[in-house]
Amino acid sequence: MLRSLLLSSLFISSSVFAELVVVVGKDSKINSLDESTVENIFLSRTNRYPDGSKAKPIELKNNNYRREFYTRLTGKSPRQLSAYWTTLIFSGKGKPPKKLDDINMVLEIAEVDTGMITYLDASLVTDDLKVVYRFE
Amino acid sequence: MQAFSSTKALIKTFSKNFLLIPCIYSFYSLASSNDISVNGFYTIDATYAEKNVELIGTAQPSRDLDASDIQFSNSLIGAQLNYQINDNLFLSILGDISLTPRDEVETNISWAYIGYDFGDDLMARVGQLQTPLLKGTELRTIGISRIWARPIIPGNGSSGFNDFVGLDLVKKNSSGQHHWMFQGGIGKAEHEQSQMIDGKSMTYVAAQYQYQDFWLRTALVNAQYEFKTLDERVIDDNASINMLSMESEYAFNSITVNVGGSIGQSDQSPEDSMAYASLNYPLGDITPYVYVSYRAQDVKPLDVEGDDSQQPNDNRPPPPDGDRPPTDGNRPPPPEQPLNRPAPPLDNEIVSWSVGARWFWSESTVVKAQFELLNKDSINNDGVVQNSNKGNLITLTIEGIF
Repeated sequence: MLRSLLLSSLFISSSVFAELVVVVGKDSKINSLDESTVENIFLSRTNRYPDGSKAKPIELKNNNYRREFYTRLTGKSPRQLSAYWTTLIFSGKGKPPKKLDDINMVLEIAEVDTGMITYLDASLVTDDLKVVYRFE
Repeated sequence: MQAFSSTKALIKTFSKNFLLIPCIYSFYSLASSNDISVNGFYTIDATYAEKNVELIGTAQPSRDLDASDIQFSNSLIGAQLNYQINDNLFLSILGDISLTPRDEVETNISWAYIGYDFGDDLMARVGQLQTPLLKGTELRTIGISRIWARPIIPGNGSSGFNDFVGLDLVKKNSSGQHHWMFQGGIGKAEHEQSQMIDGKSMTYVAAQYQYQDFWLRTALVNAQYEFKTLDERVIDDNASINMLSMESEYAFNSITVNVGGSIGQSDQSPEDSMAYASLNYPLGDITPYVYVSYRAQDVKPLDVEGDDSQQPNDNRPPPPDGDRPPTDGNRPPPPEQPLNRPAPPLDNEIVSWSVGARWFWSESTVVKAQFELLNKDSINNDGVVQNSNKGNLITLTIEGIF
């Protein structure tokens, strides 16, 4: 898991300018989130939405915009992020987002799990997903 | 320099290391389902010691290094296995394999617990856990998690009470950029010198606050234990130790400052106090650093009822943090004492000055080089230094995760 987390950031294209959005399933009661809540959920600082329901962050394996997402969200470099996760994972105090192989799996989970939250290129958003945060 | 006592020994050491790697890798490859994940870690450590020293390194327990020799005995490889049983319940095991200075394989399980996520930023864990006295206490075997080549020497653990078996609760709270983490635990203390220190109960509370590039953490730990000699004579069946720690990190203008310290107060074991400070300044992928650490051990005389001659020094348990008497040649001369009376124990002061650099070869691999001046003084009750062991160490490590 940690290896794939790190490898995925190694093979990222350096010149990707995706329009990134954060999405939940269309049946989720969450309609919008602020940046710090998104950051806290994706950095395993909280597993709750502001309304108290459980948040389950996931991300696509080997996505091309992972580096951009975390840099814009947290201001941390990939190496700082790696150090952050190493400390958290090996002390058992946090887990990185679960990784899924493709967008179809994301959509399947979104349909049945209202706690799911992920980030995507805006072009991949379907009617089954709801945008709750958009990068400026 | 008589580096490498023989080429044959070096080849043997490397061969054993390489035989262990496929075992870990096979285990890692098998676990690839969504519910099971494995995170591996390793340290390849080559240390040259100018004098005989005892070194608190990544591998457990402490290692005695021979003078003018390069040793790899602080190298290790390990893995963490996580199994998500359902949405809330999970299992985690973390262990490592290392070589002793006698080239024997040593295994160590640091964590083995079942966790339950209550879904409200509250988590409970039951099983074998690490004592959260200092940040490095929990992450001692994970070399890549720290900037230095080795754990800070005085901060090797909670006076030897590194593990415990019991229940632990972790509660997180985040409000914007303010992040809190509270931790409390209760269970049975485990000591690394279990043949002499039989842990009983342990309780602790810890708290951490983080705001942007600043964090502060503190912990209070109490352990009860039975203290006995090597020949099983009980000295104190209800001894107690209290430990308090405080640690912080702050980054400003690219310079990161780490400071920390802990104090211990015990009935039988040495009363440890330690402090450390470090500065580092990242220059691209390379981060030069300096650090100084200090540790004082107040070793108490044994309080054994009966004839004094029944408590020879050789039966006195070593300090409960893994320290052992100095190796031959460094042992202080016995002070003049009447026959049949043991020499009073000596207190210890250890100061370590280091400069080094960490190079991020990749996001999952770092290379560290460190030069260290280590000084250990053994001091008698009158404050006179009975023995001083000062020497330089040079360490090169490759550390990573996979």
